[in-house]
Amino acid sequence: MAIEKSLYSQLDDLLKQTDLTDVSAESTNYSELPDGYYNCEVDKTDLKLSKTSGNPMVSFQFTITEDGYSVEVDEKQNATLIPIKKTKNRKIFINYVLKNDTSVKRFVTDMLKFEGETPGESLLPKEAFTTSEVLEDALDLLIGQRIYVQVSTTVNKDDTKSTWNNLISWKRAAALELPM
Amino acid sequence: MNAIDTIDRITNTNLIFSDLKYCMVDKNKKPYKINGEMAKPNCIDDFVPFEDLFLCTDLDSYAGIGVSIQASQICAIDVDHCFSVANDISSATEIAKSILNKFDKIAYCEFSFSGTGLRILFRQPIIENYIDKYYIKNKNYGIEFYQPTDSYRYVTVTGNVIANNYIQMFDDNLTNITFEFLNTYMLRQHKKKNETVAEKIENRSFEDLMKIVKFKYLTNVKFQDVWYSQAPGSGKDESERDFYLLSYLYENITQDKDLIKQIFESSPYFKSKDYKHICKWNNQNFRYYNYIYNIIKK
Repeated sequence: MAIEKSLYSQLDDLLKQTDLTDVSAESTNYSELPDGYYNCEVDKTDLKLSKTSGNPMVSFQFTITEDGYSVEVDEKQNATLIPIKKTKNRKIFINYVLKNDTSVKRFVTDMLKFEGETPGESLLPKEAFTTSEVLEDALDLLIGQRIYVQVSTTVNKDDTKSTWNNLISWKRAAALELPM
Repeated sequence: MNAIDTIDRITNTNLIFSDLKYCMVDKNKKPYKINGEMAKPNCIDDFVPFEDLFLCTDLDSYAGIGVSIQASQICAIDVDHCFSVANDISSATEIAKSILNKFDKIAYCEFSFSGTGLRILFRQPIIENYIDKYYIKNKNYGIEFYQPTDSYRYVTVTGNVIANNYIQMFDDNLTNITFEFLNTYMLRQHKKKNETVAEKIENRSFEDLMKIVKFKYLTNVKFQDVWYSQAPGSGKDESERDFYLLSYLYENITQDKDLIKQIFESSPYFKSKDYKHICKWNNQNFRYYNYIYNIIKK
């Protein structure tokens, strides 16, 4: 009887503490990455057709190599980078849907942000993005490369949120004083 | 189509009786004097009467003809992409129909260079302080309005007539029609200013404000992109970037004119400007900045 009493008592305490407001049958344990900067490594790349639009699409999967950094203001009003705990090893996905001239330029701009051994020089030349054949080879070369991804959230007019993942060049990362 | 075809069509329009001043234009719509030198839009002597165009010895090498707003003392309305089929009046959009309904009895109207735009020319008294109330270019509608006040613009003319009216000086009644048009399509939207962030009387130092700038570029992707972007130089969108950065600083950092200028000049973007654009910035005691600041302030 004593054991049962302890069980019910503990369980009641736990249930009282738990906020079920946002819980539904569709809930998952997944939590969105907070806004901030994440040092990532390219896990895999994939060239395929977008399921929704049918346009060519390049998919990237990144793994976060160390805890990310959010931007906060200290007591002297200085913007400082604060580590975001438990974000190491989380995944980030970026899809580039190539539907027109503008989207291709945006994609190539991002690809040129990956640097090789020489700081300031792109790992891949622009010519790597001129045919689908060389593009596939180029994407293979990016696997294992590191780069910062900036995650940011904007609020839409209808109060829904959109999350944006943008690659940050190493030159920009240095200017922003991100840990290198 | 070249300048000879255009001149041929213009001879059948009332443009030749309208005392306009012309230049030649190439396929990129760049202006040339009849002697082949580049025309300066701010030099009214570079534009000549219609009959002088025949003194040009290589008319067929030009793509068309332009008219100076300032030298001709005319007003012009440009409506972009308002005909789905080039030079076909029946393919007009509702906006084009509405504007033509106002002007096709009182002004000269024609198809634009591409055939998909509308151009309207007329004369009327100058609207004072125009920029305080109206846009020169309203991107939402793709409409531009020019009057001969320091804008030193030129527009191409094609002779592809929609309404062949003489370019007359509007009286008060006709000018009211222009105001109806302006109030419908060109009325400036005044932005709400962020009073809590940007203070009218600035007590903070440049260094204090740069701390806020740093926070902003670390957290705002677009601002960061432009702040750190390479100034693109002539023929691109450098003026738009200038305007974006300066208005962002005004709305989010400070309203102090000198401090905004100091912050802007400290940006990597400003430091990447080429010599020509640095000169443009410094010219006539920062006239360009004064102009932008006055627009932002309103």
